[in-house]
Amino acid sequence: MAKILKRERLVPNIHLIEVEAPEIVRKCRPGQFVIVMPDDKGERIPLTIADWDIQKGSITSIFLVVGTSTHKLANLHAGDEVPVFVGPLGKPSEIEKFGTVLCAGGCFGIAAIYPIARALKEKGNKVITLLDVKANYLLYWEDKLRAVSDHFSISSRDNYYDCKEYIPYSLKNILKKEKNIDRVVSIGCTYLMYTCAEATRLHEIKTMVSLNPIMVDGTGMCGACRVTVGGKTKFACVDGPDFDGHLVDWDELFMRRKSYFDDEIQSMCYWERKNFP
Amino acid sequence: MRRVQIHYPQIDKIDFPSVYRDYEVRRDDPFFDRNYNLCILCGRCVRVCHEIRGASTVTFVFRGSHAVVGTVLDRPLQEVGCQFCGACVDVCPTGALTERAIKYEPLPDDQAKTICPLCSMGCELDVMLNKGRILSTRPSKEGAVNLGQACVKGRFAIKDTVYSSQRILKPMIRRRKELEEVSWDEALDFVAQRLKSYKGKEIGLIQSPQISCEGNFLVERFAREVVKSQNVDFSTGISPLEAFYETAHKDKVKPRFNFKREEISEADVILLAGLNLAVSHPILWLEVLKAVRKGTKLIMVSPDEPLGGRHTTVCLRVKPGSEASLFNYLSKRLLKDEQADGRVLEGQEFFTTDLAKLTAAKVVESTGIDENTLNYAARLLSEGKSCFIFGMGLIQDSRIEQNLAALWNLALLNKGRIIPLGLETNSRGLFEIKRKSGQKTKPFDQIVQEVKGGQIKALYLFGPVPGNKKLKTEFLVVQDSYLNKMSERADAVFPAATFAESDGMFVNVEGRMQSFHRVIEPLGDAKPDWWIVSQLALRWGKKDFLYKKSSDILRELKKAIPAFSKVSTSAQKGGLPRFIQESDKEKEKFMPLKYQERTELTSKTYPFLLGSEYNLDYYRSLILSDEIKGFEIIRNPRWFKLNPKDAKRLDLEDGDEVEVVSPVGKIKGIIRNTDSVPEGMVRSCLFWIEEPSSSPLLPVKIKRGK
Repeated sequence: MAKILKRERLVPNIHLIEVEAPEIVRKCRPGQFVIVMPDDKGERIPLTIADWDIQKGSITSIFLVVGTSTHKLANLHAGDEVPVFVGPLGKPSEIEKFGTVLCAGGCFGIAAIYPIARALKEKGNKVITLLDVKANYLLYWEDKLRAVSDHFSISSRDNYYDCKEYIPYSLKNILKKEKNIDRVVSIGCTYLMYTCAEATRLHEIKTMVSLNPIMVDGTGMCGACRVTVGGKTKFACVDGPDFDGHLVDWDELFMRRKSYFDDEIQSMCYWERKNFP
Repeated sequence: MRRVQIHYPQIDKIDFPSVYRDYEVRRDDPFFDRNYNLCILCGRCVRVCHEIRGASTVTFVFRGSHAVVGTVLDRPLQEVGCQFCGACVDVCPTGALTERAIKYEPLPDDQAKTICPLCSMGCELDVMLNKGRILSTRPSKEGAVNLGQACVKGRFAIKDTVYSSQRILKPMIRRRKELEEVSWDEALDFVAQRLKSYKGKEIGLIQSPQISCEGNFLVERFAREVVKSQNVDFSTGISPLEAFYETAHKDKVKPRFNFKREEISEADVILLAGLNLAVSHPILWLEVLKAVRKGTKLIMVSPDEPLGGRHTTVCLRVKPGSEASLFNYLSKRLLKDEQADGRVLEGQEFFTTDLAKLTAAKVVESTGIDENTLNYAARLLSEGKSCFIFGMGLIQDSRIEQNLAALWNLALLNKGRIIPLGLETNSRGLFEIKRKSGQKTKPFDQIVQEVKGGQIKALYLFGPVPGNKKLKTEFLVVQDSYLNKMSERADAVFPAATFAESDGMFVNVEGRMQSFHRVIEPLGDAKPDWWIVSQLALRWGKKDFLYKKSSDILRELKKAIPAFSKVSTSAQKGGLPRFIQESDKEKEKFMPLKYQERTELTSKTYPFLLGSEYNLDYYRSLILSDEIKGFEIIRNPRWFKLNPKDAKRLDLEDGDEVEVVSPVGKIKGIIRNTDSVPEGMVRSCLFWIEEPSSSPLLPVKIKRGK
């Protein structure tokens, strides 16, 4: 049983969870993830590690409340325990000195991209951070990310920040201006990663995306997280989660993610009925 | 907002930055969520709650940019008198208020109309459908009865009522001590064969006022023509309509039952007696509120303080059982003012002489209301056109006749209108069928007695039966939509279709004939009630019971019972409302007073008086709070309502488990403190459902449970 040290709502629907897990902290590296179960009967939720504290021995993750399990997780409090908290899983992101790296993140990806940006900065890269939020009140961790980036820009649909275009448009604009970008790292929802990968395809800049297919055990046994990358079947949990965005079969990924759409709604309705009359 | 997004895709940019107010989403109330982050402060919910529903639970709180819609002291809605009618949810343009049950459901792809079966008003509802499944219900804007409004039952309970987990889906018969699912033919053959072995007087049939006129008419004919039994009545035994009719019948007075909703709001003074109108008939209560806003005076006569008591001009909280002396005293006061008009009819001087015996001191003592208040009420009554509405509260003890006679005399003296309010959906329709079918039948109490005595050996039930633990017969058939205690013991169980799955007609309390149509396909093997009865009659070789659709029965009904002669079998499309036909003349005659002194029911061993609360929180055998958790929160049938002073004396707190013991039986429940109940009284609605007796006012004592 892992103890929850902190659980707070950062912005509407996005929550932070900090769990005591000293063994995981010792091993974890940027880009890896943990699997958490909110209760004995719940699903296993893969969450990207957003930060860790060696002194406290704690792992911090950010999650978006969408379905039953994440609702359950959002209803936990500091001091509660989660029955399953395993990690670090997956391969760490490639961190080397590339030159100039553009990190594009949105939604829960804002937090997931933070350890990668930090590590890239430490390696001596020039880090350009591009964040996407729907409205100004959905932005979090701005100061943290600003501290690790050389150039920082936010696009929000309400035109509160630098621009109001969706992230691929602003990405294209940046690519036009800055000729010497060597690598793009993109984390967020599948659509965001897909559009980012399409935006950089013409410029032939290697784009790494952190895929989030439906995942069950996270150790390569079940095969629920199959994705096709470069014509070969890969498991996102052991071969990923980072892949080259230009090689991923996006259509298949979108389809696979929708497999349990109706069941998820039913489960959500059932849970709501039980807990909220 | 959603519609704006869909229909105006060109609006893709908003020049103003969005400001998130970061309020917590309120989820502590049943049925709907309140997310004031999405609120645009249009004030529609505030207005509908205040101006139409008269509840005034929400209003604007704080000032300037901090202004938000909220409740007093930020309490949950259930603590500030919200009745969860859902009117605010229906008018909310942004989704700040959303129905929780359909939050994650798809959008409706079809819409149909039905009639709500959960009280005797018969509100018209729009049913939202998706792929042939009910998503939710809304009050219909064209509904002539409800005028776009509904109550918590019609708004939030319909879907769960239809798709209840307790639905009976297959016909079942008992073989080797177990209920087995069988085909319709097998079940019908089995029941017919067994019923044939009994004589007519050994068979009892108990109807339900919650099934359509067609169903009830066929049951009546089935009893008369097929099994030749006189033991047929409906399950609650007595309704205000029936009681009023019988009292009037004895004295050869002909009362009028039809009324129009507008008659209430046109009155200058309204007197409500023995009912909590805001809970039992919320839609009629709206009409009363409309009148009150126009300046009509409202008088309430009840031992309890009814909901919405603040709208009353004067609230007469009488001691239970002393209503008759109150009405008689009011008549006497009126008579003093009006004698000059020669209002007292010739040859009926007995009335004045009888009233003369009644002294003010006596009335003050028996009712517990001071003389000034009584005189004030009498003065209000003399002011203009009056309307008297009464409910189950007046007919709940042995003094039914004197209560009703006193009320009748008062109304006659005042040239007022008297309106008895039945509870069940089709109580009016069933009443007309029973009254005009010309068959002599035994009342419910007598049937129960005969079942206990062993004269009735086979029982055929169409709905829930109160006091069901004691009814034991050789052969028991249950025809119901939901499993209940009786169907566990039954020898045969027929799955009946609910209102949403069948066609039919209800007659509402106004006398308005409302047809409803099939909205969804029947669940499982459920069939309409009329179909089951007609198929059963065919097993006796009765060819004239063969009907293909319910409208054929309606045609028959029209011929057989003159009250229904205005029925048209085609679907009702706008047009004029169709009412039950009745002669317009009310015979003007006073009834003898039959006044008896109020007797003290309580004693030292049984210090409290238990009274029933009459809310129709059930549909056939389904008690709504069993299926819908929200109902358990707002109106738990296990509550025993007690005055806080009594509770303090007994050292009981809210939520304490208690056992209430009466000479007839005992029952367990939970204590709920409320000021609305007078001292020395306990209110419960469970008692009525599970352990009723002929006199619902019972002396009881309260013991602390485990």
